Amino acid sequence: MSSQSKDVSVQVDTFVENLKRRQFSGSYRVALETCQLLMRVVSAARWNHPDQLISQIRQLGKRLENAQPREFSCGNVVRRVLAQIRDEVETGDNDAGQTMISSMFSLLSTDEKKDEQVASQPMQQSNSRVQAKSHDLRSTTIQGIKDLIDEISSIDEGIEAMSVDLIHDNEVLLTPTPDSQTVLKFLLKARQKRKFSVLVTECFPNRTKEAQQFAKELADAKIETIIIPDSHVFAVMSRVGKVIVGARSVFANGGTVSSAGVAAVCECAKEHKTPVFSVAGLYKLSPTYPFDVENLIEVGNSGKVVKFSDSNLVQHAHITNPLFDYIPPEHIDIYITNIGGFAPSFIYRIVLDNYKTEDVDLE
Amino acid sequence: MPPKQKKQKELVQDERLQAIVLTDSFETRFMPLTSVKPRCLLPLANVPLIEYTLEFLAKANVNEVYFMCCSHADQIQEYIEQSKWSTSGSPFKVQTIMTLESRSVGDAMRDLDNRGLITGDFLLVSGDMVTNIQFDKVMEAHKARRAVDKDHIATMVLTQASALHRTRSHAEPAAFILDKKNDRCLYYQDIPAADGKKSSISIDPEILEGVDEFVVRNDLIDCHVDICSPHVPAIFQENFDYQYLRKDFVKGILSSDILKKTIYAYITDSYAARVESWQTYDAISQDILARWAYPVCPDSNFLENQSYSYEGKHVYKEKDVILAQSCKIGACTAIGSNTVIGNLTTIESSVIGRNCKIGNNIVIKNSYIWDNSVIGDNTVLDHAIVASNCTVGKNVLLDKGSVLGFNVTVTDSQVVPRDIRISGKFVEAGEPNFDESDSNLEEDHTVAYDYVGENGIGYLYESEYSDTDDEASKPVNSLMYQMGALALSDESIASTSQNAVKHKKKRTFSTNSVATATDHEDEDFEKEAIATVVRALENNHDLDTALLELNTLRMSMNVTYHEVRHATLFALLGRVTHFIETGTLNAKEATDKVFKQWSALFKRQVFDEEEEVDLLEIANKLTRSREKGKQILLYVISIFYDMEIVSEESILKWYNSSDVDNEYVAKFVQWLEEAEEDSEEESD
Amino acid sequence: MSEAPVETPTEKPVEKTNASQAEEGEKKLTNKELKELKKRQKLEKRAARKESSGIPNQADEKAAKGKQKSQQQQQQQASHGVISRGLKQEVNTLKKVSLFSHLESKEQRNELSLSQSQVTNIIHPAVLSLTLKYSGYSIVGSIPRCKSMLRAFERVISEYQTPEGTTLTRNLTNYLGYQIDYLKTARPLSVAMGNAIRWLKQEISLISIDTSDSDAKAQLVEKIDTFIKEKIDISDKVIIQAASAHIQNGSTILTFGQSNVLKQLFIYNHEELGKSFNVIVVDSRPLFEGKQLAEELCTKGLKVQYVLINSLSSVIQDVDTVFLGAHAMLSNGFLYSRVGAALIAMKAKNANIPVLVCCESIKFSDRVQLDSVTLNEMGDTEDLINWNQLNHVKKSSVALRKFIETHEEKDQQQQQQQKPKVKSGGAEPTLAKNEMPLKDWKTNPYLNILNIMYDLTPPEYIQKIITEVGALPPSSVPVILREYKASTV
Repeated sequence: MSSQSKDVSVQVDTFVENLKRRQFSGSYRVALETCQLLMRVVSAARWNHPDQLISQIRQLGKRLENAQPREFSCGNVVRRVLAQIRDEVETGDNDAGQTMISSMFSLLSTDEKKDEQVASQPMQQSNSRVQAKSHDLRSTTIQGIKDLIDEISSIDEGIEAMSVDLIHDNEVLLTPTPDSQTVLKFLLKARQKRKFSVLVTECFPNRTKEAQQFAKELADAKIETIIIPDSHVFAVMSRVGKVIVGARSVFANGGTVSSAGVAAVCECAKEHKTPVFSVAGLYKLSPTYPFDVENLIEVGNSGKVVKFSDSNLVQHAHITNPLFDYIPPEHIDIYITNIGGFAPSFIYRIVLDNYKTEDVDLE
Repeated sequence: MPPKQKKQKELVQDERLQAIVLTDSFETRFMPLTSVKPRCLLPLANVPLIEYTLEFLAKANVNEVYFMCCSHADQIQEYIEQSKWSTSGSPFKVQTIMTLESRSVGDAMRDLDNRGLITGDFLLVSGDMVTNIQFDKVMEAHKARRAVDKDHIATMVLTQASALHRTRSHAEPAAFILDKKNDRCLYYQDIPAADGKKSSISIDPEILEGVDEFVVRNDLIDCHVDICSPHVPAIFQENFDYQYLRKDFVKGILSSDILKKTIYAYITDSYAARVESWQTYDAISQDILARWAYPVCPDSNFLENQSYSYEGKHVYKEKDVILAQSCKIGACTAIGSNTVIGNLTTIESSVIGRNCKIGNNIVIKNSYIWDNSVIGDNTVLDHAIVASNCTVGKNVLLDKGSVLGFNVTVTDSQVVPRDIRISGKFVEAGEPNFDESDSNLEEDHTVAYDYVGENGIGYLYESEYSDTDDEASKPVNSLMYQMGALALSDESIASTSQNAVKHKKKRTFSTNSVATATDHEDEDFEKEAIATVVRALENNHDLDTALLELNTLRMSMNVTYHEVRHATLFALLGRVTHFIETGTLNAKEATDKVFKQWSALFKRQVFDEEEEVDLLEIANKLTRSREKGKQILLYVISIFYDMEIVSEESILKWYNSSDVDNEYVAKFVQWLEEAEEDSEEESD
Repeated sequence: MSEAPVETPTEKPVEKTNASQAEEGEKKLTNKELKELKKRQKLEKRAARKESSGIPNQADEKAAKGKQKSQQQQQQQASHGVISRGLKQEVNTLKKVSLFSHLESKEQRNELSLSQSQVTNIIHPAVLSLTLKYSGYSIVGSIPRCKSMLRAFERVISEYQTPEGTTLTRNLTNYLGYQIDYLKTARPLSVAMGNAIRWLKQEISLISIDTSDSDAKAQLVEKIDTFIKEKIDISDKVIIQAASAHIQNGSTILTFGQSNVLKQLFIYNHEELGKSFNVIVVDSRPLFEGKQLAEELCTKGLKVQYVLINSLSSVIQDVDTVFLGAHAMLSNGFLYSRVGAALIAMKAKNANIPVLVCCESIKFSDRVQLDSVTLNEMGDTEDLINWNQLNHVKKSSVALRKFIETHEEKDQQQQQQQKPKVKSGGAEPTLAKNEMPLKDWKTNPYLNILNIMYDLTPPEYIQKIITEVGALPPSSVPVILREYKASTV
């Protein structure tokens, strides 16, 4: 057992290092990898009391968040698992026969009350009972993580299903996030029933290659695809029927973080009264609020904006290359997730369904 | 985890990638700081330099990393052992190799060859580079070229820059001639430090034969990341005189008709550079802060305990930084944890370490302050470097290019002028073996009151080449890079303080190995060496040829410098005796004639004080039995003294420790002592 | 072809009169054509024969001195026919973005070009070189283009000789018309250029018939000089004076792309007025005009931040004022400027940052337009193929590229060596095929690239337009336009 837990700690270390080196690409992969890691951690972890497991996972979550503070899917997955464990503990405490408090009811119940429940009830329990349960908890948690993996890997299917409802024939769409696989699959699915055109922005300089590949894949699927430079957005917006945006992270207030340039596109769409919808898997939903917008945005390689050999600019000009943009909730009309479509103002409810308020801050 | 690794190894035995990290630069550009800490452990943007190399290797999916350590090897070893790289979570295996005898890259490579560690193509990097290149692409290119060209033995990674780029070395710029079609390197030429004069290179047209189009490129940054085939160390072994990787090896391979090997360049758009002078230290720090090397940036927090976060405008702060409300933090700045910054202080394009106390109303521009330093109110720092644990008083000006070494104290209202380097070294160390070849040793021992103030602590450091290089280095600094002033191009590899440390160790190490060597090998060497020198004397070879031959002999017979000195001196004295015996010249003339010309040989055979004493002792022994030996010894010693092969201290030390029964030498020593007293009086 | 260039100025204009008359009234032209139909057919054959045998046209001209006019006209038409036929074939293979199929592409523009022989005969070398510069984007921006065009016309006029049997007033306009047509093949005329040309033609027509040629030419050159001085140089100075009031010490200014007058404005405020301010230069693909501006300002010691248009949201909150240049001001108050300007104006407006446009009144146009895609200039789609490019690669002209392409087809081996030379200029490492997803976009019927040059910024985003006649709201453009017209007429 001890060697096993040592192994796990090595794996955690390696994972953290990889995160720091940004060796994982895309939040989808990060989310899946985090699940795998959590599974290993849970199976190797030892605890006398569920609280200990919870605090172990919270610590791990904090480490992962610190390793790459702007990769939200890590923290989201960890919080989802925490919520599962807490639910499990709670239902166990309330005896199996008792029905879970309905989500509507839990919404109304105050946080303090919940905290009391969590804190006080386990204390009263005898140690032996907990130990007997610990095996139970382990297996249900692992099962929960497995379900989560299933959910994440099948997210596109849920989103795709709605594509037909959102696109009509001969519509012109614009997407400013051509690096999103979710958007790609959504459009490919829609093509089976509809005929439409897609304008694809280049997303220069960080994702231009991906944009071109994206355009090529769409064209190969016989969707009329037009690549436009990012500067053309305003010029063509009057012809666009809908804007489709992929999200990197969706916050509880309905705002979202996406590729650089998207904020301007959404604002432009708003000006032209063009509807904007965002497609995002549930795991991108973060229970945090974007208080400090600047802190959400990763700044990338300046060498992508100006060549490093351009010594005059390198030396004298201040060059920045933000990778992301924050889009306020008022610039997005609807979120399409694997569990349905929601208005930005409703996102906080989805958050409450899937996360526990006490886990919002992992500190 | 271990079984998994094993499995991998079995599967991809040939794919195992090894990396050799040269932790020593064999240069002295970072003196006096490098007398305390090796270059690769100096902090760059508050992270020890070697971490950048290791991060790169981790990303490159290297399996084994070997550190070739010479100077401060113990420090490096200790650092590696305590770092995350030695834990089980490390992406590769690390091993430090003590190659204390090495004095150049060439020596290290030869040592590497002797150890037989290399199994396939390996990555050769220096421990002071910063890069974000995608190594798999380089490797791919290397393999693709290998498939086409069987003689391909090395790929050099070069970064595209421009001729006067700030990150490009101004101390060692170099031009590459490449085949335009496939980037095969045709010729390499190091360019002497720009001194305003036009320099020309002559190229053998044969080199360009069979090449359709070639480009001459003087706009590349050479970061010393090479993929080498196992032949490379072997080639170093075959060519004892190769010392530098570029100047000797690359140039040698390319101009050699016999070897018929090829070297290719991989020119990358990504970031790759090497910290090899204060100028590049400055430039690379700025590049990292301005995110040119992304994801290599402070907020990647390479060290476990770091907590940098990006704050917009390229400002980075760790946790628990205390900023006064009225202080101004400009673009491109990093501040370590627990540092306190006072009111009205302005900081711009600078790096400040942990636990520093920065007072009120201070201006810090383009400066680098390492951990635990204290800066007093109203002080101005402009393009300065303040190492760890320094104390700078109030109203001090640290002018462009000034360097404060570890533990220096500068009291209130002092001015440290341009390009002055102050070291705190003598305080605790006081070791006489600091730097023998430095003729200013005496002055160094006195506290540089002029700069640090009466109660200050610090010694002026003057580079041994400062006199000759002043002119040469000026254009470098007057260009546009203030830090360039500090870039002294130091051609010598053999007379550094690192070597001093190294050699002492070598002796203790090598006594064992010498003892095991068979005696007749020594004799063979002696005979051969004496014959070599005699041949050189008779045929009037030039010094370099003689040196090369001796060096070759030394390497092939595996003997120490002591034997070399012995043999050389024996041969020279024999020549002197020959002149005297045949009556052609008297003792003084004969000694003059032989030694004035040939003493230079010892410059490459004697490196520290101990060895100087050893040389004198050999001379003493060899002259004792000779006719007019006492006189000859005196002349020899005085020539050695004049030619700065031995220092005054060495003579005194030798004289006091050895039984010298020689009235001439006694007089000479007496004269030396008096002269010293005189000079001391004068200086008082 | 080998016709002596000396002869061209004297002879060609004559035909031009014909051609221009033809333009004026189609009926006239058809009449003439009918008359000379038979002759023409004969000559066409002859010309074709000559071309194939390589006999210079000169000989032919000498032989039929008296019929020079008709002959050459025919020749031109004949060869023109051949060329346009060839081009049409190519046009058929050209791809069009369905939504934007009405826009004229670069290749289509070339369709209008004259035959090779005509080009050498009629087109003045100064105009030839200028056309190359336009098409290679080495002269960009409405004002620099206008200025360089007027300078070229000065040369054209001073070297112009009125052919026999016609007057300068009548013939020079036509002659210039050809030059202008040729210039148009590179890029459509900018509004400023159009205005300048209209003015110049008017000036020519105003010259009285009694003036001697040399006097008239000197007059015209002088007038062009004063025009440049008044309408451009002095205007710029006035604008800079007026706009300087909007640059405060310590403020942050955002600008997009490159505008000549704005560059001067920043340098003036930095150097002459000694103000300290930050300039954020926003740039976009594929021309990267802002890079040049940023570099120039850096060298002058200004504090410059350089970002791409995608980073707009992250820099906009620090900005105090947005300055934009203009390609043209339309009479309905819309700003017609480099594509991307509208996005910036919108962002600034929504962030309550004033948007100021610096624009010489020569750029005012009486055109009205409501959205950017109805009328626009197409850029080169090839510019967008390489995803890794951070500088605009100066291209050779369309004709040269075509020449190379045909060569490449012929010689496969040659292709490999020539292509990288021409396309990458040696600087860019040629990317492997799999790294360029768009390399074969032309063969994919569903894949398109749109690269337009300008967009329209609605007047509600613009706070003020600073011109040499004062700062005014966008709604006052037609007023100025009227005044301007009144003053020039």
